[in-house]
Amino acid sequence: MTLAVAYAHDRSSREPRPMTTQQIWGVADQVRRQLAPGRSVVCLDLERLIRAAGRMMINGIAIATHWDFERSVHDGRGREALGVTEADPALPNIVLISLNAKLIAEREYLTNRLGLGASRNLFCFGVAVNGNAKPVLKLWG
Amino acid sequence: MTLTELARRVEVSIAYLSRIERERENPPPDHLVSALARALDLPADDLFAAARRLPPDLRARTEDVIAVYRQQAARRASR
Repeated sequence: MTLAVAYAHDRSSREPRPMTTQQIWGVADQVRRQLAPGRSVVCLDLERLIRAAGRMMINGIAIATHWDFERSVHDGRGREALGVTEADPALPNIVLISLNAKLIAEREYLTNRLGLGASRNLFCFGVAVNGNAKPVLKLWG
Repeated sequence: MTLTELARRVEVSIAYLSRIERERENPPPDHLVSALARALDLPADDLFAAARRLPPDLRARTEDVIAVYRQQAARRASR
Protein backbone atom coordinates (compact mmCIF):
# COMPACT_ATOMS: atom_id res chain seq x y z
CA MET A 1 0.00 0.00 0.00
CA THR A 2 1.20 3.50 -0.82
CA LEU A 3 -0.13 6.21 1.41
CA ALA A 4 -0.91 9.23 -0.79
CA VAL A 5 -1.14 12.67 0.77
CA ALA A 6 -1.36 16.06 -0.86
CA TYR A 7 -1.41 19.54 0.62
CA ALA A 8 -0.60 23.10 -0.44
CA HIS A 9 3.17 23.45 -0.67
CA ASP A 10 6.02 25.39 -2.24
CA ARG A 11 7.16 23.57 -5.37
CA SER A 12 10.87 24.31 -5.03
CA SER A 13 11.43 23.96 -1.27
CA ARG A 14 8.58 21.42 -0.84
CA GLU A 15 7.65 23.22 2.38
CA PRO A 16 3.98 23.25 3.28
CA ARG A 17 2.23 26.56 2.76
CA PRO A 18 0.46 28.05 5.77
CA MET A 19 -2.75 26.09 6.34
CA THR A 20 -5.91 26.68 8.28
CA THR A 21 -6.92 24.24 11.00
CA GLN A 22 -9.57 22.88 8.65
CA GLN A 23 -6.99 22.26 5.93
CA ILE A 24 -4.73 20.41 8.38
CA TRP A 25 -7.69 18.27 9.46
CA GLY A 26 -8.27 17.67 5.75
CA VAL A 27 -4.78 16.17 5.46
CA ALA A 28 -5.49 13.99 8.49
CA ASP A 29 -8.71 12.88 6.80
CA GLN A 30 -6.78 11.82 3.71
CA VAL A 31 -4.68 9.52 5.91
CA ARG A 32 -7.68 8.18 7.85
CA ARG A 33 -9.62 7.40 4.68
CA GLN A 34 -6.73 5.29 3.39
CA LEU A 35 -5.85 3.55 6.64
CA ALA A 36 -9.36 2.91 7.86
CA PRO A 37 -11.65 3.08 4.84
CA GLY A 38 -15.34 3.05 5.64
CA ARG A 39 -14.79 3.52 9.34
CA SER A 40 -15.05 6.67 11.38
CA VAL A 41 -11.94 6.75 13.53
CA VAL A 42 -10.33 9.59 15.40
CA CYS A 43 -7.21 7.83 16.71
CA LEU A 44 -5.16 5.73 14.34
CA ASP A 45 -3.29 2.67 15.49
CA LEU A 46 0.40 3.53 15.65
CA GLU A 47 1.60 0.17 14.36
CA ARG A 48 -0.74 0.42 11.40
CA LEU A 49 0.41 3.95 10.70
CA ILE A 50 4.05 2.82 10.77
CA ARG A 51 3.35 -0.06 8.39
CA ALA A 52 1.39 2.17 6.03
CA ALA A 53 4.07 4.84 6.08
CA GLY A 54 6.58 2.47 4.46
CA ARG A 55 5.74 3.86 1.06
CA MET A 56 4.18 7.25 0.60
CA MET A 57 3.34 9.64 -2.16
CA ILE A 58 3.53 13.14 -0.72
CA ASN A 59 2.52 15.91 -3.10
CA GLY A 60 3.30 13.59 -6.01
CA ILE A 61 6.78 12.62 -4.76
CA ALA A 62 7.42 8.97 -3.90
CA ILE A 63 9.01 8.69 -0.47
CA ALA A 64 10.02 5.54 1.39
CA THR A 65 10.57 5.34 5.12
CA HIS A 66 13.01 3.04 6.88
CA TRP A 67 12.54 2.42 10.59
CA ASP A 68 14.90 1.27 13.28
CA PHE A 69 13.54 0.13 16.65
CA GLU A 70 16.34 -2.17 17.68
CA ARG A 71 18.76 0.00 19.58
CA SER A 72 19.36 3.11 21.59
CA VAL A 73 19.26 6.46 19.81
CA HIS A 74 21.66 9.22 20.80
CA ASP A 75 21.53 12.92 20.13
CA GLY A 76 25.03 13.41 18.74
CA ARG A 77 26.43 14.39 22.15
CA GLY A 78 26.09 10.83 23.42
CA ARG A 79 22.88 11.47 25.35
CA GLU A 80 20.01 9.05 24.84
CA ALA A 81 17.13 10.40 22.81
CA LEU A 82 13.60 9.15 22.27
CA GLY A 83 13.99 9.02 18.53
CA VAL A 84 14.85 10.97 15.45
CA THR A 85 13.61 11.52 11.90
CA GLU A 86 16.28 12.24 9.35
CA ALA A 87 17.16 12.25 5.68
CA ASP A 88 20.56 11.19 4.36
CA PRO A 89 21.84 12.88 1.19
CA ALA A 90 23.16 9.45 0.16
CA LEU A 91 19.62 8.05 0.20
CA PRO A 92 17.42 10.20 -2.00
CA ASN A 93 13.69 10.17 -1.31
CA ILE A 94 14.12 8.04 1.81
CA VAL A 95 13.23 9.17 5.30
CA LEU A 96 14.96 7.43 8.21
CA ILE A 97 13.14 7.09 11.50
CA SER A 98 14.95 5.72 14.54
CA LEU A 99 13.03 5.07 17.73
CA ASN A 100 14.66 4.23 21.03
CA ALA A 101 12.84 1.00 21.84
CA LYS A 102 14.35 0.77 25.30
CA LEU A 103 13.04 4.19 26.33
CA ILE A 104 9.66 3.64 24.74
CA ALA A 105 9.06 0.15 26.15
CA GLU A 106 6.44 0.00 28.87
CA ARG A 107 5.61 3.68 28.55
CA GLU A 108 2.31 3.60 26.77
CA TYR A 109 1.79 7.31 27.20
CA LEU A 110 4.65 7.84 24.77
CA THR A 111 2.88 6.10 21.90
CA ASN A 112 0.50 9.05 21.67
CA ARG A 113 3.48 11.40 21.46
CA LEU A 114 5.04 9.15 18.81
CA GLY A 115 1.83 9.07 16.82
CA LEU A 116 1.79 12.87 16.86
CA GLY A 117 5.45 12.97 15.81
CA ALA A 118 4.91 10.47 13.02
CA SER A 119 1.90 12.41 11.76
CA ARG A 120 3.69 15.72 11.88
CA ASN A 121 6.44 14.20 9.77
CA LEU A 122 4.02 14.06 6.86
CA PHE A 123 4.61 17.79 6.55
CA CYS A 124 8.40 17.50 6.88
CA PHE A 125 9.23 14.58 4.59
CA GLY A 126 9.11 16.57 1.39
CA VAL A 127 11.64 19.09 2.70
CA ALA A 128 13.74 16.40 4.38
CA VAL A 129 14.42 14.47 1.19
CA ASN A 130 15.13 17.57 -0.87
CA GLY A 131 18.91 16.94 -0.93
CA ASN A 132 21.64 15.74 -3.24
CA ALA A 133 22.81 12.14 -3.39
CA LYS A 134 26.28 11.54 -1.92
CA PRO A 135 27.11 7.82 -1.60
CA VAL A 136 29.86 7.84 1.02
CA LEU A 137 30.51 5.75 4.10
CA LYS A 138 32.80 6.94 6.83
CA LEU A 139 33.21 6.19 10.49
CA TRP A 140 34.80 8.34 13.14
CA GLY A 141 38.20 9.79 12.55
CA MET B 1 28.71 -0.19 -2.53
CA THR B 2 25.59 1.68 -1.54
CA LEU B 3 24.51 2.24 2.03
CA THR B 4 21.47 0.05 1.40
CA GLU B 5 23.60 -2.86 0.18
CA LEU B 6 26.06 -2.46 3.04
CA ALA B 7 23.24 -2.41 5.61
CA ARG B 8 21.87 -5.62 4.11
CA ARG B 9 25.29 -7.29 4.21
CA VAL B 10 26.02 -6.45 7.85
CA GLU B 11 22.40 -7.04 8.88
CA VAL B 12 21.56 -3.70 10.45
CA SER B 13 18.90 -1.18 9.52
CA ILE B 14 19.63 1.46 6.93
CA ALA B 15 18.60 4.10 9.46
CA TYR B 16 21.20 2.93 11.99
CA LEU B 17 24.00 2.62 9.44
CA SER B 18 23.20 6.03 8.07
CA ARG B 19 23.41 7.53 11.57
CA ILE B 20 26.84 5.94 12.03
CA GLU B 21 28.01 7.19 8.65
CA ARG B 22 26.86 10.73 9.43
CA GLU B 23 28.50 10.58 12.88
CA ARG B 24 25.15 11.06 14.59
CA GLU B 25 25.36 7.85 16.60
CA ASN B 26 27.84 6.40 19.06
CA PRO B 27 30.56 4.22 17.49
CA PRO B 28 29.17 0.78 16.68
CA PRO B 29 29.93 -2.31 18.80
CA ASP B 30 32.96 -4.47 18.04
CA HIS B 31 31.09 -7.14 16.11
CA LEU B 32 29.62 -4.51 13.77
CA VAL B 33 32.98 -2.81 13.21
CA SER B 34 34.42 -6.21 12.27
CA ALA B 35 31.47 -6.99 10.01
CA LEU B 36 31.82 -3.60 8.28
CA ALA B 37 35.53 -4.23 7.72
CA ARG B 38 34.78 -7.59 6.12
CA ALA B 39 31.98 -6.18 3.95
CA LEU B 40 34.09 -3.23 2.81
CA ASP B 41 37.24 -5.33 2.46
CA LEU B 42 39.16 -2.96 4.73
CA PRO B 43 41.60 -3.78 7.54
CA ALA B 44 39.61 -4.08 10.76
CA ASP B 45 42.36 -2.17 12.57
CA ASP B 46 41.68 0.87 10.37
CA LEU B 47 38.01 0.89 11.28
CA PHE B 48 38.72 0.40 14.99
CA ALA B 49 41.13 3.32 14.78
CA ALA B 50 38.42 5.37 13.04
CA ALA B 51 36.07 4.42 15.87
CA ARG B 52 38.77 5.66 18.27
CA ARG B 53 39.30 2.44 20.14
CA LEU B 54 41.72 -0.47 20.16
CA PRO B 55 40.81 -3.69 18.39
CA PRO B 56 39.52 -6.28 20.90
CA ASP B 57 42.67 -8.43 20.75
CA LEU B 58 44.85 -5.44 21.72
CA ARG B 59 42.50 -4.11 24.38
CA ALA B 60 43.67 -6.74 26.85
CA ARG B 61 47.22 -5.58 26.24
CA THR B 62 46.74 -1.84 26.59
CA GLU B 63 49.89 -1.46 28.70
CA ASP B 64 52.01 -3.05 25.95
CA VAL B 65 50.37 -0.86 23.30
CA ILE B 66 51.12 2.28 25.32
CA ALA B 67 54.69 1.16 25.96
CA VAL B 68 55.34 0.51 22.26
CA TYR B 69 53.76 3.84 21.32
CA ARG B 70 55.88 5.73 23.86
CA GLN B 71 59.05 4.00 22.66
CA GLN B 72 58.31 4.93 19.05
CA ALA B 73 57.43 8.49 19.98
CA ALA B 74 60.68 8.83 21.93
CA ARG B 75 62.63 7.38 19.00
CA ARG B 76 61.02 9.83 16.59
CA ALA B 77 61.74 12.74 18.92
CA SER B 78 65.43 11.79 19.24
CA ARG B 79 65.99 11.77 15.45
